Amino acid sequence: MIEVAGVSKRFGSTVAVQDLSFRVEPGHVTGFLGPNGAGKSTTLRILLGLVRPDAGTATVLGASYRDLPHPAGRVGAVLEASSFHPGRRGRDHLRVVARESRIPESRVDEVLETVELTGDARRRVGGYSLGMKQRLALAGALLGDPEVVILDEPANGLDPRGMRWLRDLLRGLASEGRAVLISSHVLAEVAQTADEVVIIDRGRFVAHSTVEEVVAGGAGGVRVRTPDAARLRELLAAAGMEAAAGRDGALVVRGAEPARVGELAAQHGVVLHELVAESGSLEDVFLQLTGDTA
Amino acid sequence: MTALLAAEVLKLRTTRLLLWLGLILVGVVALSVAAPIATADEFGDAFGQFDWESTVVSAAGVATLFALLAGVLSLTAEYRHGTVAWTFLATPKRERVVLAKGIVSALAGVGLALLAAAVALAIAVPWLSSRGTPLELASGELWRNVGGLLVACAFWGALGVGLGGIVRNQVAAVVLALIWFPLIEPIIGAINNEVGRYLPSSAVDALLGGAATADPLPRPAALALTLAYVAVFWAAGAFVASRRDVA
Repeated sequence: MIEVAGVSKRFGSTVAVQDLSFRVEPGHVTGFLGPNGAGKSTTLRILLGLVRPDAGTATVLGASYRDLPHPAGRVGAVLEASSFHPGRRGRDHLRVVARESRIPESRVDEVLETVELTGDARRRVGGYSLGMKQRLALAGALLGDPEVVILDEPANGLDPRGMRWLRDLLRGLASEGRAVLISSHVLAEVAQTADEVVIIDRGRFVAHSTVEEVVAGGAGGVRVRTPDAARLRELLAAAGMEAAAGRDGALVVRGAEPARVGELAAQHGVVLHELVAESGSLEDVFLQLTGDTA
Repeated sequence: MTALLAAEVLKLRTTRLLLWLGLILVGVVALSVAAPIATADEFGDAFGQFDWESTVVSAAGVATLFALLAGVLSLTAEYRHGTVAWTFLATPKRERVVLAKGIVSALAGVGLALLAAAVALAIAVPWLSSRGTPLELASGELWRNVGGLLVACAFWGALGVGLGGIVRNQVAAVVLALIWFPLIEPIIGAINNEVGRYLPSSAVDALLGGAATADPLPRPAALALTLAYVAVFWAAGAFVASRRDVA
Protein backbone atom coordinates (compact mmCIF):
# COMPACT_ATOMS: atom_id res chain seq x y z
CA MET A 1 0.00 0.00 0.00
CA ILE A 2 2.64 2.46 1.16
CA GLU A 3 6.27 1.64 0.65
CA VAL A 4 9.24 3.78 1.56
CA ALA A 5 12.52 2.28 0.34
CA GLY A 6 15.94 3.71 1.12
CA VAL A 7 14.74 7.30 1.16
CA SER A 8 17.23 10.04 2.01
CA LYS A 9 16.77 13.78 1.97
CA ARG A 10 18.91 16.66 3.13
CA PHE A 11 18.08 20.34 3.24
CA GLY A 12 21.33 22.22 2.88
CA SER A 13 23.65 20.69 5.46
CA THR A 14 20.78 19.30 7.58
CA VAL A 15 20.03 15.62 7.09
CA ALA A 16 16.23 15.29 7.33
CA VAL A 17 15.84 11.62 6.39
CA GLN A 18 18.59 9.01 6.13
CA ASP A 19 18.13 5.70 4.27
CA LEU A 20 14.62 5.17 5.64
CA SER A 21 12.56 2.11 4.69
CA PHE A 22 9.20 0.79 5.88
CA ARG A 23 5.91 -0.56 4.57
CA VAL A 24 2.34 0.14 5.58
CA GLU A 25 -0.36 -2.44 4.85
CA PRO A 26 -4.09 -1.83 4.35
CA GLY A 27 -6.58 -2.50 7.12
CA HIS A 28 -4.33 -1.07 9.83
CA VAL A 29 -3.81 2.23 11.51
CA THR A 30 -0.07 2.75 11.56
CA GLY A 31 1.43 5.37 13.83
CA PHE A 32 4.47 7.20 12.51
CA LEU A 33 6.36 8.32 15.56
CA GLY A 34 9.39 10.35 16.34
CA PRO A 35 10.44 13.41 18.33
CA ASN A 36 10.01 16.84 16.78
CA GLY A 37 12.46 17.22 13.94
CA ALA A 38 12.85 13.47 13.44
CA GLY A 39 11.92 13.77 9.75
CA LYS A 40 8.29 12.63 9.91
CA SER A 41 6.83 15.52 7.94
CA THR A 42 9.57 15.36 5.35
CA THR A 43 8.96 11.64 4.86
CA LEU A 44 5.22 12.18 4.43
CA ARG A 45 5.81 15.04 1.99
CA ILE A 46 8.15 12.83 -0.02
CA LEU A 47 5.46 10.14 -0.03
CA LEU A 48 2.99 12.68 -1.41
CA GLY A 49 5.25 14.02 -4.14
CA LEU A 50 5.65 17.45 -2.55
CA VAL A 51 9.33 16.99 -1.75
CA ARG A 52 11.83 15.21 -3.99
CA PRO A 53 14.02 12.66 -2.19
CA ASP A 54 17.77 12.76 -2.85
CA ALA A 55 17.80 8.96 -2.95
CA GLY A 56 15.37 6.08 -2.68
CA THR A 57 11.76 5.69 -3.72
CA ALA A 58 8.44 6.25 -2.00
CA THR A 59 5.33 4.69 -3.51
CA VAL A 60 1.64 4.74 -2.70
CA LEU A 61 -0.70 2.18 -4.26
CA GLY A 62 2.19 0.81 -6.26
CA ALA A 63 3.34 4.00 -7.96
CA SER A 64 5.02 7.23 -7.04
CA TYR A 65 2.36 9.79 -6.11
CA ARG A 66 3.22 12.05 -9.03
CA ASP A 67 2.52 9.18 -11.44
CA LEU A 68 -0.90 8.27 -10.04
CA PRO A 69 -3.73 9.45 -12.27
CA HIS A 70 -6.09 11.67 -10.22
CA PRO A 71 -4.21 10.84 -6.99
CA ALA A 72 -6.38 12.99 -4.70
CA GLY A 73 -9.28 10.64 -5.38
CA ARG A 74 -7.32 7.65 -4.04
CA VAL A 75 -4.99 9.12 -1.44
CA GLY A 76 -6.24 11.55 1.20
CA ALA A 77 -3.73 13.66 3.07
CA VAL A 78 -3.60 16.29 5.78
CA LEU A 79 -0.36 18.18 6.13
CA GLU A 80 -0.65 21.31 8.24
CA ALA A 81 -3.54 22.78 10.14
CA SER A 82 -2.95 26.23 8.79
CA SER A 83 -2.97 25.59 5.08
CA PHE A 84 -6.10 27.49 4.17
CA HIS A 85 -6.79 30.87 2.68
CA PRO A 86 -8.19 32.79 5.68
CA GLY A 87 -10.63 34.72 3.51
CA ARG A 88 -12.21 31.64 1.96
CA ARG A 89 -15.22 29.95 3.52
CA GLY A 90 -14.70 26.40 4.77
CA ARG A 91 -17.18 24.94 2.35
CA ASP A 92 -15.67 26.86 -0.57
CA HIS A 93 -12.24 25.44 0.27
CA LEU A 94 -13.67 21.94 -0.11
CA ARG A 95 -15.45 22.90 -3.33
CA VAL A 96 -12.11 24.07 -4.76
CA VAL A 97 -10.35 20.86 -3.71
CA ALA A 98 -13.21 18.74 -5.09
CA ARG A 99 -13.16 20.55 -8.40
CA GLU A 100 -9.42 20.32 -8.98
CA SER A 101 -9.44 16.66 -7.87
CA ARG A 102 -12.38 15.78 -10.17
CA ILE A 103 -14.48 14.69 -7.21
CA PRO A 104 -18.25 15.26 -7.45
CA GLU A 105 -19.35 18.35 -5.52
CA SER A 106 -22.03 16.32 -3.71
CA ARG A 107 -19.20 14.86 -1.58
CA VAL A 108 -18.52 18.28 -0.04
CA ASP A 109 -21.61 18.29 2.16
CA GLU A 110 -21.13 14.61 2.99
CA VAL A 111 -17.62 15.08 4.38
CA LEU A 112 -18.66 18.26 6.20
CA GLU A 113 -21.25 16.09 7.93
CA THR A 114 -18.62 13.42 8.68
CA VAL A 115 -16.30 15.88 10.42
CA GLU A 116 -19.23 17.64 12.11
CA LEU A 117 -18.47 21.01 10.57
CA THR A 118 -21.72 21.59 8.69
CA GLY A 119 -22.80 24.40 11.01
CA ASP A 120 -19.61 26.42 10.46
CA ALA A 121 -19.10 25.55 6.80
CA ARG A 122 -20.17 28.96 5.53
CA ARG A 123 -17.85 30.94 7.81
CA ARG A 124 -14.47 32.20 6.62
CA VAL A 125 -11.60 29.95 7.70
CA GLY A 126 -9.79 32.91 9.30
CA GLY A 127 -12.30 32.69 12.15
CA TYR A 128 -11.83 28.96 12.76
CA SER A 129 -10.17 27.48 15.84
CA LEU A 130 -7.21 25.15 15.38
CA GLY A 131 -9.48 22.16 16.03
CA MET A 132 -11.94 23.32 13.38
CA LYS A 133 -9.11 23.74 10.89
CA GLN A 134 -8.00 20.19 11.66
CA ARG A 135 -11.51 18.97 10.94
CA LEU A 136 -11.70 20.93 7.72
CA ALA A 137 -8.34 19.53 6.64
CA LEU A 138 -9.55 16.04 7.45
CA ALA A 139 -12.72 16.68 5.44
CA GLY A 140 -10.49 17.62 2.50
CA ALA A 141 -8.56 14.38 2.88
CA LEU A 142 -11.75 12.31 2.95
CA LEU A 143 -13.34 14.00 -0.09
CA GLY A 144 -12.20 11.38 -2.55
CA ASP A 145 -13.22 8.41 -0.38
CA PRO A 146 -9.51 7.47 -0.40
CA GLU A 147 -7.95 4.02 -0.12
CA VAL A 148 -4.95 5.50 1.66
CA VAL A 149 -5.16 8.17 4.36
CA ILE A 150 -2.00 10.02 5.43
CA LEU A 151 -2.27 12.48 8.29
CA ASP A 152 0.52 14.62 9.72
CA GLU A 153 -0.06 15.32 13.43
CA PRO A 154 -3.86 15.15 13.14
CA ALA A 155 -4.35 15.32 16.90
CA ASN A 156 -2.79 18.80 17.23
CA GLY A 157 -5.39 21.26 18.46
CA LEU A 158 -8.08 18.70 19.17
CA ASP A 159 -9.74 18.63 22.57
CA PRO A 160 -10.24 15.28 24.36
CA ARG A 161 -13.65 14.85 22.76
CA GLY A 162 -12.16 15.60 19.36
CA MET A 163 -9.36 13.09 19.99
CA ARG A 164 -11.87 10.41 20.76
CA TRP A 165 -13.89 11.26 17.71
CA LEU A 166 -10.75 11.15 15.54
CA ARG A 167 -9.78 7.79 17.01
CA ASP A 168 -13.17 6.28 16.16
CA LEU A 169 -13.05 7.76 12.68
CA LEU A 170 -9.59 6.36 11.93
CA ARG A 171 -10.42 2.93 13.37
CA GLY A 172 -13.52 2.91 11.16
CA LEU A 173 -11.48 3.78 8.07
CA ALA A 174 -8.97 1.01 8.78
CA SER A 175 -11.70 -1.55 9.44
CA GLU A 176 -13.02 -0.80 5.95
CA GLY A 177 -9.69 -2.02 4.61
CA ARG A 178 -8.01 1.33 4.05
CA ALA A 179 -4.41 2.05 4.96
CA VAL A 180 -4.12 4.78 7.57
CA LEU A 181 -0.79 6.40 8.43
CA ILE A 182 -0.74 9.05 11.17
CA SER A 183 2.30 10.84 12.47
CA SER A 184 2.76 12.09 15.99
CA HIS A 185 5.51 13.07 18.38
CA VAL A 186 3.46 11.79 21.33
CA LEU A 187 3.26 8.00 21.68
CA ALA A 188 0.26 8.16 24.00
CA GLU A 189 -1.69 9.95 21.27
CA VAL A 190 -1.46 7.07 18.84
CA ALA A 191 -1.18 4.16 21.30
CA GLN A 192 -4.94 3.79 21.54
CA THR A 193 -5.56 4.33 17.84
CA ALA A 194 -2.74 2.56 16.04
CA ASP A 195 -2.20 -1.17 15.56
CA GLU A 196 1.40 -0.70 14.58
CA VAL A 197 3.99 1.97 14.96
CA VAL A 198 6.96 2.96 12.87
CA ILE A 199 9.42 4.89 15.00
CA ILE A 200 12.11 7.13 13.56
CA ASP A 201 14.64 9.41 15.16
CA ARG A 202 17.00 11.94 13.58
CA GLY A 203 15.86 10.79 10.16
CA ARG A 204 16.72 7.15 10.80
CA PHE A 205 14.60 4.05 11.26
CA VAL A 206 14.34 2.89 14.89
CA ALA A 207 11.59 0.30 15.12
CA HIS A 208 8.49 -1.08 13.43
CA SER A 209 6.29 -3.22 15.63
CA THR A 210 2.88 -3.53 17.20
CA VAL A 211 1.86 -1.06 19.85
CA GLU A 212 1.67 -3.89 22.43
CA GLU A 213 5.27 -4.84 21.76
CA VAL A 214 6.44 -1.29 22.14
CA VAL A 215 4.56 -0.79 25.36
CA ALA A 216 5.66 -4.19 26.75
CA GLY A 217 9.26 -3.33 25.86
CA GLY A 218 9.26 -0.65 28.49
CA ALA A 219 10.41 -1.44 32.01
CA GLY A 220 7.27 -1.99 34.07
CA GLY A 221 7.11 -2.40 37.83
CA VAL A 222 4.95 -2.86 40.89
CA ARG A 223 3.54 -0.14 43.11
CA VAL A 224 3.03 -1.30 46.66
CA ARG A 225 1.69 0.48 49.71
CA THR A 226 2.30 -0.74 53.24
CA PRO A 227 2.40 0.78 56.75
CA ASP A 228 5.74 -0.99 57.18
CA ALA A 229 7.65 0.36 54.21
CA ALA A 230 11.12 0.14 55.72
CA ARG A 231 10.78 -3.57 56.54
CA LEU A 232 9.34 -4.46 53.13
CA ARG A 233 12.17 -2.61 51.49
CA GLU A 234 14.71 -4.69 53.38
CA LEU A 235 12.92 -7.92 52.47
CA LEU A 236 12.77 -6.93 48.80
CA ALA A 237 16.43 -6.03 48.79
CA ALA A 238 17.30 -9.40 50.35
CA ALA A 239 15.31 -11.06 47.54
CA GLY A 240 17.24 -9.09 44.93
CA MET A 241 14.53 -6.54 44.08
CA GLU A 242 15.17 -2.86 44.46
CA ALA A 243 12.40 -0.62 45.73
CA ALA A 244 12.28 3.12 45.41
CA ALA A 245 10.06 5.61 47.20
CA GLY A 246 7.08 6.50 45.06
CA ARG A 247 4.37 9.10 45.48
CA ASP A 248 2.44 9.36 48.79
CA GLY A 249 4.66 6.92 50.64
CA ALA A 250 4.19 4.11 48.14
CA LEU A 251 7.11 1.94 47.06
CA VAL A 252 7.85 1.30 43.41
CA VAL A 253 9.62 -1.94 42.58
CA ARG A 254 11.20 -1.90 39.16
CA GLY A 255 11.12 -5.02 36.99
CA ALA A 256 9.13 -7.05 39.54
CA GLU A 257 6.02 -9.22 39.31
CA PRO A 258 3.10 -8.34 41.67
CA ALA A 259 2.74 -12.02 42.64
CA ARG A 260 6.36 -12.23 43.75
CA VAL A 261 6.07 -9.06 45.89
CA GLY A 262 2.77 -10.25 47.41
CA GLU A 263 4.16 -13.67 48.29
CA LEU A 264 7.19 -12.14 49.91
CA ALA A 265 5.02 -9.86 52.06
CA ALA A 266 2.70 -12.72 53.09
CA GLN A 267 5.64 -14.96 54.06
CA HIS A 268 6.89 -12.30 56.45
CA GLY A 269 3.51 -11.09 57.70
CA VAL A 270 3.81 -7.58 56.22
CA VAL A 271 0.42 -5.88 55.78
CA LEU A 272 -0.23 -4.55 52.25
CA HIS A 273 -2.74 -1.82 51.49
CA GLU A 274 -2.17 -1.72 47.77
CA LEU A 275 -0.44 -3.88 45.16
CA VAL A 276 -0.59 -2.73 41.56
CA ALA A 277 1.24 -3.73 38.39
CA GLU A 278 2.42 -0.63 36.57
CA SER A 279 3.24 -0.60 32.89
CA GLY A 280 6.16 1.55 31.92
CA SER A 281 5.16 5.06 31.01
CA LEU A 282 4.69 5.32 27.28
CA GLU A 283 6.91 8.34 27.15
CA ASP A 284 9.67 6.44 28.97
CA VAL A 285 9.48 3.73 26.35
CA PHE A 286 9.50 6.23 23.56
CA LEU A 287 12.45 8.14 24.93
CA GLN A 288 14.28 4.90 25.60
CA LEU A 289 13.78 3.78 21.97
CA THR A 290 14.75 7.09 20.48
CA GLY A 291 17.76 7.27 22.74
CA ASP A 292 16.84 10.62 24.22
CA THR A 293 17.24 9.46 27.80
CA ALA A 294 18.00 12.79 29.32
CA MET B 1 -7.63 20.85 -18.02
CA THR B 2 -11.27 21.98 -17.96
CA ALA B 3 -11.55 20.91 -14.31
CA LEU B 4 -8.35 22.78 -13.47
CA LEU B 5 -9.55 25.95 -15.18
CA ALA B 6 -12.89 25.69 -13.36
CA ALA B 7 -11.06 25.20 -10.06
CA GLU B 8 -8.88 28.27 -10.66
CA VAL B 9 -11.96 30.35 -11.49
CA LEU B 10 -13.61 29.10 -8.31
CA LYS B 11 -10.50 30.04 -6.29
CA LEU B 12 -10.76 33.61 -7.58
CA ARG B 13 -14.48 33.77 -6.90
CA THR B 14 -14.21 32.49 -3.32
CA THR B 15 -11.78 35.09 -1.97
CA ARG B 16 -12.17 38.84 -1.94
CA LEU B 17 -8.95 39.58 -3.86
CA LEU B 18 -10.63 40.44 -7.16
CA LEU B 19 -13.32 42.43 -5.35
CA TRP B 20 -10.66 44.61 -3.69
CA LEU B 21 -8.59 44.95 -6.84
CA GLY B 22 -11.76 45.93 -8.71
CA LEU B 23 -12.86 48.49 -6.13
CA ILE B 24 -9.46 50.19 -5.98
CA LEU B 25 -9.23 50.10 -9.76
CA VAL B 26 -12.60 51.85 -10.08
CA GLY B 27 -11.42 54.62 -7.76
CA VAL B 28 -8.09 55.14 -9.50
CA VAL B 29 -9.61 55.13 -12.98
CA ALA B 30 -12.36 57.55 -11.93
CA LEU B 31 -9.72 60.01 -10.67
CA SER B 32 -7.48 59.63 -13.71
CA VAL B 33 -10.41 60.28 -16.07
CA ALA B 34 -11.88 63.15 -14.08
CA ALA B 35 -8.59 65.05 -13.71
CA PRO B 36 -7.89 65.83 -17.41
CA ILE B 37 -11.54 66.61 -18.18
CA ALA B 38 -11.89 68.90 -15.18
CA THR B 39 -8.75 70.85 -16.05
CA ALA B 40 -9.28 71.02 -19.83
CA ASP B 41 -10.08 74.55 -21.00
CA GLU B 42 -11.87 75.99 -24.00
CA PHE B 43 -8.63 77.34 -25.37
CA GLY B 44 -7.39 73.79 -25.74
CA ASP B 45 -10.66 72.75 -27.32
CA ALA B 46 -10.40 75.52 -29.89
CA PHE B 47 -6.95 74.44 -30.96
CA GLY B 48 -7.84 70.75 -30.97
CA GLN B 49 -5.29 69.95 -28.28
CA PHE B 50 -7.32 67.12 -26.81
CA ASP B 51 -7.55 63.65 -28.27
CA TRP B 52 -10.22 62.41 -25.90
CA GLU B 53 -10.59 59.02 -27.62
CA SER B 54 -7.06 58.23 -26.56
CA THR B 55 -6.92 60.20 -23.27
CA VAL B 56 -9.99 58.50 -21.82
CA VAL B 57 -8.71 55.01 -22.59
CA SER B 58 -5.20 55.77 -21.28
CA ALA B 59 -6.78 56.74 -17.99
CA ALA B 60 -8.06 53.17 -17.83
CA GLY B 61 -4.55 51.93 -18.68
CA VAL B 62 -3.67 51.58 -14.99
CA ALA B 63 -5.68 48.34 -15.24
CA THR B 64 -2.52 46.70 -16.67
CA LEU B 65 -0.84 47.02 -13.24
CA PHE B 66 -3.85 45.45 -11.53
CA ALA B 67 -3.83 42.59 -14.05
CA LEU B 68 -0.12 42.05 -13.40
CA LEU B 69 -0.81 42.02 -9.66
CA ALA B 70 -3.65 39.49 -10.03
CA GLY B 71 -1.33 37.25 -12.05
CA VAL B 72 1.55 37.47 -9.57
CA LEU B 73 -0.73 36.76 -6.61
CA SER B 74 -2.30 33.72 -8.25
CA LEU B 75 0.56 31.43 -7.27
CA THR B 76 2.39 33.44 -4.59
CA ALA B 77 -0.76 33.73 -2.43
CA GLU B 78 -1.02 29.94 -2.49
CA TYR B 79 2.54 29.62 -1.24
CA ARG B 80 1.89 32.26 1.39
CA HIS B 81 -1.23 30.59 2.80
CA GLY B 82 -0.06 27.01 2.28
CA THR B 83 -2.95 26.13 -0.02
CA VAL B 84 -0.32 25.24 -2.60
CA ALA B 85 0.01 21.82 -0.92
CA TRP B 86 -3.67 21.08 -1.63
CA THR B 87 -3.23 22.32 -5.19
CA PHE B 88 -0.18 20.17 -5.92
CA LEU B 89 -1.71 17.14 -4.17
CA ALA B 90 -4.67 17.40 -6.53
CA THR B 91 -2.45 18.07 -9.55
CA PRO B 92 1.08 16.75 -9.01
CA LYS B 93 2.03 17.75 -12.56
CA ARG B 94 2.65 21.31 -11.53
CA GLU B 95 3.15 22.70 -15.04
CA ARG B 96 -0.55 22.06 -15.60
CA VAL B 97 -1.34 24.24 -12.58
CA VAL B 98 0.85 27.05 -13.95
CA LEU B 99 -0.85 26.78 -17.36
CA ALA B 100 -4.36 26.83 -15.86
CA LYS B 101 -3.47 29.79 -13.64
CA GLY B 102 -1.92 31.59 -16.61
CA ILE B 103 -5.07 31.22 -18.70
CA VAL B 104 -7.42 32.19 -15.86
CA SER B 105 -5.25 35.18 -14.88
CA ALA B 106 -5.28 36.37 -18.49
CA LEU B 107 -9.07 36.22 -18.37
CA ALA B 108 -9.08 38.03 -15.01
CA GLY B 109 -6.91 40.68 -16.67
CA VAL B 110 -9.49 41.06 -19.45
CA GLY B 111 -12.21 41.40 -16.81
CA LEU B 112 -10.27 44.16 -15.00
CA ALA B 113 -9.66 45.93 -18.34
CA LEU B 114 -13.38 45.81 -19.17
CA LEU B 115 -14.22 47.21 -15.74
CA ALA B 116 -11.67 50.03 -16.11
CA ALA B 117 -12.87 50.89 -19.61
CA ALA B 118 -16.51 50.86 -18.51
CA VAL B 119 -15.80 53.22 -15.60
CA ALA B 120 -13.77 55.56 -17.81
CA LEU B 121 -16.51 55.71 -20.44
CA ALA B 122 -19.32 56.00 -17.91
CA ILE B 123 -17.67 59.14 -16.54
CA ALA B 124 -16.28 60.59 -19.76
CA VAL B 125 -19.24 60.15 -22.15
CA PRO B 126 -21.84 62.26 -20.29
CA TRP B 127 -19.29 64.75 -18.98
CA LEU B 128 -17.64 65.41 -22.34
CA SER B 129 -20.93 65.77 -24.16
CA SER B 130 -22.19 68.20 -21.52
CA ARG B 131 -19.16 70.43 -22.14
CA GLY B 132 -19.77 70.23 -25.88
CA THR B 133 -16.83 68.00 -26.88
CA PRO B 134 -18.52 64.60 -27.10
CA LEU B 135 -16.52 61.42 -27.53
CA GLU B 136 -16.75 60.01 -31.02
CA LEU B 137 -18.30 56.72 -30.04
CA ALA B 138 -18.55 55.69 -33.67
CA SER B 139 -14.85 56.19 -34.27
CA GLY B 140 -12.66 53.18 -34.72
CA GLU B 141 -9.88 54.80 -32.69
CA LEU B 142 -11.74 54.62 -29.38
CA TRP B 143 -12.60 50.95 -29.69
CA ARG B 144 -9.18 50.03 -31.04
CA ASN B 145 -7.73 51.60 -27.90
CA VAL B 146 -10.16 49.68 -25.68
CA GLY B 147 -9.32 46.46 -27.52
CA GLY B 148 -5.63 47.18 -27.02
CA LEU B 149 -6.19 47.59 -23.29
CA LEU B 150 -7.89 44.18 -23.12
CA VAL B 151 -4.97 42.54 -24.92
CA ALA B 152 -2.41 44.26 -22.69
CA CYS B 153 -4.20 43.23 -19.49
CA ALA B 154 -4.47 39.63 -20.66
CA PHE B 155 -0.74 39.71 -21.38
CA TRP B 156 0.23 41.09 -17.96
CA GLY B 157 -2.09 38.71 -16.11
CA ALA B 158 -0.53 35.76 -17.91
CA LEU B 159 3.04 37.00 -17.45
CA GLY B 160 2.48 37.60 -13.73
CA VAL B 161 1.70 33.93 -13.11
CA GLY B 162 5.05 32.89 -14.58
CA LEU B 163 6.84 35.49 -12.47
CA GLY B 164 5.04 34.21 -9.34
CA GLY B 165 6.23 30.71 -10.18
CA ILE B 166 9.84 31.89 -10.36
CA VAL B 167 9.74 34.18 -7.30
CA ARG B 168 7.42 32.51 -4.85
CA ASN B 169 7.82 35.05 -2.04
CA GLN B 170 4.72 37.19 -2.38
CA VAL B 171 6.17 40.50 -1.25
CA ALA B 172 9.34 40.07 -3.31
CA ALA B 173 7.36 39.08 -6.41
CA VAL B 174 4.92 42.00 -6.14
CA VAL B 175 7.65 44.56 -5.49
CA LEU B 176 9.78 43.20 -8.32
CA ALA B 177 6.87 43.25 -10.76
CA LEU B 178 5.67 46.73 -9.88
CA ILE B 179 9.18 48.23 -9.97
CA TRP B 180 10.64 46.41 -12.93
CA PHE B 181 7.96 46.68 -15.61
CA PRO B 182 6.55 50.20 -15.13
CA LEU B 183 9.72 51.89 -13.78
CA ILE B 184 12.96 50.14 -14.72
CA GLU B 185 12.04 49.15 -18.26
CA PRO B 186 11.27 52.72 -19.40
CA ILE B 187 14.60 53.82 -17.90
CA ILE B 188 16.43 51.10 -19.82
CA GLY B 189 14.55 52.23 -22.94
CA ALA B 190 15.63 55.81 -22.35
CA ILE B 191 19.27 54.81 -21.94
CA ASN B 192 19.43 52.36 -24.81
CA ASN B 193 16.33 51.94 -26.93
CA GLU B 194 17.94 49.17 -29.01
CA VAL B 195 17.55 47.03 -25.90
CA GLY B 196 14.50 48.80 -24.49
CA ARG B 197 12.25 48.25 -27.48
CA TYR B 198 12.52 44.48 -27.02
CA LEU B 199 11.52 44.49 -23.32
CA PRO B 200 8.03 43.22 -22.35
CA SER B 201 6.45 46.65 -21.72
CA SER B 202 7.66 48.02 -25.04
CA ALA B 203 6.73 44.85 -26.90
CA VAL B 204 3.13 44.94 -25.69
CA ASP B 205 3.00 48.69 -26.32
CA ALA B 206 4.22 48.16 -29.87
CA LEU B 207 1.50 45.56 -30.35
CA LEU B 208 -1.05 48.23 -29.44
CA GLY B 209 0.37 50.87 -31.76
CA GLY B 210 3.51 51.95 -29.94
CA ALA B 211 2.30 55.27 -28.53
CA ALA B 212 4.64 55.07 -25.53
CA THR B 213 7.70 53.62 -27.25
CA ALA B 214 10.29 55.34 -29.39
CA ASP B 215 10.82 53.42 -32.62
CA PRO B 216 8.41 50.59 -31.73
CA LEU B 217 8.69 47.16 -33.29
CA PRO B 218 6.37 46.40 -36.22
CA ARG B 219 3.10 44.75 -35.10
CA PRO B 220 3.80 41.18 -36.32
CA ALA B 221 7.19 41.17 -34.59
CA ALA B 222 5.61 42.65 -31.45
CA LEU B 223 2.93 39.95 -31.45
CA ALA B 224 5.51 37.18 -31.80
CA LEU B 225 7.65 38.72 -29.05
CA THR B 226 4.79 39.14 -26.54
CA LEU B 227 3.67 35.54 -27.09
CA ALA B 228 7.27 34.43 -26.67
CA TYR B 229 7.52 36.35 -23.39
CA VAL B 230 4.39 34.64 -22.05
CA ALA B 231 5.71 31.24 -23.13
CA VAL B 232 9.14 31.83 -21.58
CA PHE B 233 7.71 33.11 -18.27
CA TRP B 234 5.27 30.19 -18.05
CA ALA B 235 7.96 27.65 -18.88
CA ALA B 236 10.38 29.13 -16.34
CA GLY B 237 7.68 29.40 -13.68
CA ALA B 238 6.57 25.80 -14.27
CA PHE B 239 10.17 24.56 -14.25
CA VAL B 240 11.03 26.28 -10.98
CA ALA B 241 7.72 25.40 -9.28
CA SER B 242 8.05 21.74 -10.30
CA ARG B 243 11.53 21.38 -8.85
CA ARG B 244 10.97 23.36 -5.69
CA ASP B 245 10.10 21.35 -2.57
CA VAL B 246 6.85 22.27 -0.86
CA ALA B 247 8.12 22.08 2.70
